[in-house]
Amino acid sequence: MMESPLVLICLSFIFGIILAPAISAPFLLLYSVQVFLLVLCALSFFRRRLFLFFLVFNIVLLGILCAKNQAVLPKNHIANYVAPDKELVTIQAVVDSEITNKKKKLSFICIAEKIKIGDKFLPVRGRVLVDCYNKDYSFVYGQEMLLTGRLYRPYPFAISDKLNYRQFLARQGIFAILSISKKGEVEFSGKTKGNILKRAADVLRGKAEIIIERYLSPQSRGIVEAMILGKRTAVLRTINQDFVRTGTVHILAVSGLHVGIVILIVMAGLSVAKITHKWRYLLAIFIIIFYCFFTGARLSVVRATAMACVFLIGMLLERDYEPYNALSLAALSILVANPANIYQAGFQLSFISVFSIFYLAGRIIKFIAKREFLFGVKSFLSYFAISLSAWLGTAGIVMYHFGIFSPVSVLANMMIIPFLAVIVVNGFLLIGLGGIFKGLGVILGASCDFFVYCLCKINLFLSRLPYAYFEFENIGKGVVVSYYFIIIAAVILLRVRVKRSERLTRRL
Amino acid sequence: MPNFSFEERKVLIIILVIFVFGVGVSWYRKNSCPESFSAPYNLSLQKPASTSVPASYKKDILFPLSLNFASREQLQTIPGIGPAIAARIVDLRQKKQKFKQIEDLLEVKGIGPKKLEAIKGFVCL
Repeated sequence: MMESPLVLICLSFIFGIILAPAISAPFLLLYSVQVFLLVLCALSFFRRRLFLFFLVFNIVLLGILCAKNQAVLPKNHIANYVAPDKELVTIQAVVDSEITNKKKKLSFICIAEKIKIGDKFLPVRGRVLVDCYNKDYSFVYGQEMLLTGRLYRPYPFAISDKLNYRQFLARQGIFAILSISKKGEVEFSGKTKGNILKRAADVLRGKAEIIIERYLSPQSRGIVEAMILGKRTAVLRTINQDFVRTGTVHILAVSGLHVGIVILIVMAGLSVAKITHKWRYLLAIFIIIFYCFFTGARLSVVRATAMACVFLIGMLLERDYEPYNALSLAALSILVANPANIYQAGFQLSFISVFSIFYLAGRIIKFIAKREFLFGVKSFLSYFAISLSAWLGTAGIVMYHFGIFSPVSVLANMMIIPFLAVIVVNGFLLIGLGGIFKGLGVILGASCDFFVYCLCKINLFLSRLPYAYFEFENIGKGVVVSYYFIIIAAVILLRVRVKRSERLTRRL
Repeated sequence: MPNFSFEERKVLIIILVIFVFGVGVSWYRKNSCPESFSAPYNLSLQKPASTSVPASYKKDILFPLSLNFASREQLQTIPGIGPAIAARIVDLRQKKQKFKQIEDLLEVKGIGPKKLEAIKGFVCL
């Protein structure tokens, strides 16, 4: 890991973001200090240790500045137009997310462009959560429109003992909600804005949803949509709860495994089509970026896409792949865009799980490789090592955010991940071929149903085992810190022991 | 300890300069809107430039609110409670010295049985 300089840069930046709320100095003062440190860093160019020292300080301070800057809203932010008593306002906005169809309303996020004050339209900025209670309207990503409704600040309802709804929305950059009643007005301008890739992905996702709905049973539909399209709204609550209890709910979020399968399918397809290496990598990069938009660009898939792009670009440039650098680069790219992501459970789990697999599983697998085992046992132990490492790395954070500790998670992941791979491949084939050949669609749909059924049954069985999981309330940060302290201490002790035994064997 | 070569150090300094410049420009743009663009309401989520953490981040209100300790402003965050009713609740609390039960709110002008049912979930004693 010491050969991965980006790790130090990433950790320094994260430290700065975490430190930011504790620093109450004015932004300009901090900025002046930053410029001064930058000059010192440049002046110490020829002195390695001094340069490193000032570099780390610079990056920590940059993290603080980015976090503080992100928390500042522009004067013309839409949130500053929220009246104390929910006034009726008209805003011009562009749809910026997929539309969620809830029982009584349609919800989506839009980017506010203008607000009507008197007879004038003034430019504004910022994202607004729109709740439209008139379901006769149909909204699509990128549509520009005039919305008339009541603008108000989100209520701080407690979601958990650590987070309330207002904070939850604020972390996504949403500080106001626009509620459009059944009599509310929506006027479409006919213009379409937004990202072309996102629009194309939206259209394709709609078609994929139609195919899934046509060929899959209602129970399988929700799970397959979650695994392939990143849409978790249709997953039954009881099923979701079972996955949470066995520590396998991550399979319902599109992440590294899904992106890996997409890359394999794409590379296999492109090699069959006899496309040259260079073009294969370039096309694969484009396709996985498109897949990122296709699945709604959630943090886990953005992380996996960033790492996959680094890997493919490295292959294209014929350079060695360094996993810690790739992971750090992915983290930095997400945090620079939105420093508040550091507090998101999804971000923490996504990165810690991958880091644990690289660090712990890597070492365990090296250890296993040096020993002699029966055929098949090595592979099984390596597979077990990966599952165990991911569980050890994420258990503390899962306890803190969700109040659950699942010892059965290691076994559950080992049994369920193969089903995930099969369902994802089956699902892609269904979407790709089922739309063209009806007969194939029926067969692929039936096999997908069967695999999802087996997956749910195994998961249900595992969740019912004695001591499969333990639920807690109010796990403090102290418990989590102690947990990771014990893990790190155990890893260091084991490393020291292994090095000692290696030295002894060398002497002998 | 990472050992950066001279080329790597050059690249790092250039990248740092770009980011620091970018953060500065972003902050300047956020704080330098012309007066005609400023909001009609003084309900900005941010304090003046001296602290850049929005007030909502520092002191967030979590329901249920204590009827015996909540301020007028905190009471106004309850749906259905405006400035007038919040002031009356605080006045009644000062008169009675303490609310002994949530139903005491029925003595406040503007709070009837229906409104009490609606706000019960947001308050406690």
